[in-house]
Amino acid sequence: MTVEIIEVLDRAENGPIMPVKEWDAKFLPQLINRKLKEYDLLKTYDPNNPVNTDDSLADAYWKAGFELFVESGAYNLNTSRRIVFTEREVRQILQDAPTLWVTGGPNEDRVEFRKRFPEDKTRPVSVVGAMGIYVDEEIYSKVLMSIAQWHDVDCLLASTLPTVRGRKIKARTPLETYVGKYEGMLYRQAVAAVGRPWMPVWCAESAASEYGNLGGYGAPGAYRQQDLAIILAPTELKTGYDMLHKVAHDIYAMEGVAVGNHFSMIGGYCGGPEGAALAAVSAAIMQRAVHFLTVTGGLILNMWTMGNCDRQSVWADSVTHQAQNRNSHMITLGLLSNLYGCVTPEVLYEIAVLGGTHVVSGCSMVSGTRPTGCRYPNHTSGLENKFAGEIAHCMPGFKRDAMNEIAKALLPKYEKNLMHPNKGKSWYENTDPKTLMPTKEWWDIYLKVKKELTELGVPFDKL
Amino acid sequence: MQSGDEEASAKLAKRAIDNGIDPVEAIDHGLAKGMKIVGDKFSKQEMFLPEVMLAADAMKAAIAVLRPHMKGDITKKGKVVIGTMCGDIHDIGKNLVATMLEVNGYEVIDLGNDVPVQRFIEEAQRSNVDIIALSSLITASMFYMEDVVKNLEGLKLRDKYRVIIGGGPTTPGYAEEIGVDGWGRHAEEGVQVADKLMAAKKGQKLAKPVIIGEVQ
Repeated sequence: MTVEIIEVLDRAENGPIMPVKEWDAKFLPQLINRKLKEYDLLKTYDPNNPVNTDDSLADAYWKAGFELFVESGAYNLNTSRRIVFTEREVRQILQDAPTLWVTGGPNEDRVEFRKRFPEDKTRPVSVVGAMGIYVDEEIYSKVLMSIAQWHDVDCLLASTLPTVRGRKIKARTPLETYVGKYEGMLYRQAVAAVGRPWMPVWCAESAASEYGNLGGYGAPGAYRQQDLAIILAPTELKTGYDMLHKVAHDIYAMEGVAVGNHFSMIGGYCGGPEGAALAAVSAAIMQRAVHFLTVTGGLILNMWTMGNCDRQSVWADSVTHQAQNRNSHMITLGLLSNLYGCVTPEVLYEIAVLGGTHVVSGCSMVSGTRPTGCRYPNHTSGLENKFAGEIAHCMPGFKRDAMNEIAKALLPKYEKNLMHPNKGKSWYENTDPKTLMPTKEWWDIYLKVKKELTELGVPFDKL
Repeated sequence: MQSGDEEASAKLAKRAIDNGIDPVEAIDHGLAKGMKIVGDKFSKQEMFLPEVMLAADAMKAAIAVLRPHMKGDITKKGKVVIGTMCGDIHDIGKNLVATMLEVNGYEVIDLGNDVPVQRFIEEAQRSNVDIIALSSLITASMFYMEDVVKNLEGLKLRDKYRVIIGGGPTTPGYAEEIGVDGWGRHAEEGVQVADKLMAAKKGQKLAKPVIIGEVQ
């Protein structure tokens, strides 16, 4: 009954065949539209209430999303075949999903990922860092230390090394395998240097293909079984052999601690915010079924802005996560893909709105951050990651209607310029390289925003 | 065409020919106008990417019927070969730009994703394109963009084509560093970059790349 990895690999080779363009432009969009109609979900996006508070709406999205996955399956880019499951199999897969994962170490860096419900009082885990951001090799270790030093950062999220010992890392070259180990060693050294040797890391990031994962995990001094192996699925509901290599590797070498995500894109193949919210429900299930994720992320991204803190994305994110977390016991993650840069108040508003939405919608893990949408090299710092950790840790038990009011107050402060947001200042300009502390300018902005949010009701006093 | 029905578009194109309508007029006053409406609706989020992709296919189906009856060739703004760089399987951004270029009057040859460097150059030569458009969401794949420029230079072909880049990790600074001709932050801005380059004299070396959409 349980569908093992070997069976998934069989189906990836032998499932129903379909050209990718048919999947992208016809089959999936039409199926999504049909499910939205069947469940009366068309035009349910409510711009006046960016955080959903309607349980019945979330439940309808779950039912429709579950059916969508049963009827679509996942798409294997390498064989142009659909990996399909029966309804009974999907129900068993959800029943078998873990509700708790304990990792880290024997001391205060022990981390517990627990299943959460919307408005749950359980504390989610913050997995933050310069996700996907290109950080110069010369400052890489210092950047990691400037983030890992804050204890509101539970786990460190990897950033991208563009070079290894001065050589540019090109996709599919042996340097990708090399950097898997190299990056892992830098991480272990950095977390040890700030007194947190057991701190788990979500990686490998410098090689997006399978090579970094295969190279870094299991290598002495690099990534360990206690770390989080990253598996990112391309939109919509797709997989491929580079991801399935990682799955096959992780299940044996990593003992099944893969954590990943998939962006359903507003404006893309699944249509508007309603289609994206629905597809994201299916994506969360798909990643558990096909990628065997311990922590699964069915997420939203806006194709126009390439971020997810805009009004439409926040609404879709709240609906899909409430759907996932009310109706299954999967451990789910939210991911902050902000567009403003460091040393701007707007980046903190973005983090507060979507991070808070993740917590009240039942996510077990709040992850990010991605200043400038990861576009500009070195645009990261420890401070926005500390702030994201604080939001994750102070808001358990917070109510969705109260979060909705906060989102309504904050969105107008940044949403108008999301297509061309201020990129702010890079690590070279926002952090003292000797002390690893943020500059006074950046710290003052942080204090001012926290004061403003406290007045709006964000309970920083719970920290 | 707006409903993305290839069969119906081809049938209507045939009916236009049967009724003695000049195929150029059918394109200019029928298909081009229809695609303009599609493009406008897409920009206003009244239509989404799959519908626009299907509308573009419907337009191509109609043109295939009209083309044999034309005296000259179809006037297009330019010809573009586009693809996602080697090692990158993300294609939605590239599909968006390709679709926007088509909607705005370009002929687009889409090589798909995970495209090797030399494949861009071979197709550019084979199809005699004006622009080579390179997309990447991954830093390790982005680095192949500079190989396209270097290989064009090595083959003494650099002056024949404009090279434009876009996608997640690309920046104006990187565009300038590797010596391409243009960069756009968003898909619409990518089209504006292509328009500016087509307006410039072919073969003219630019002092700096055309950059649209850079932020403070």
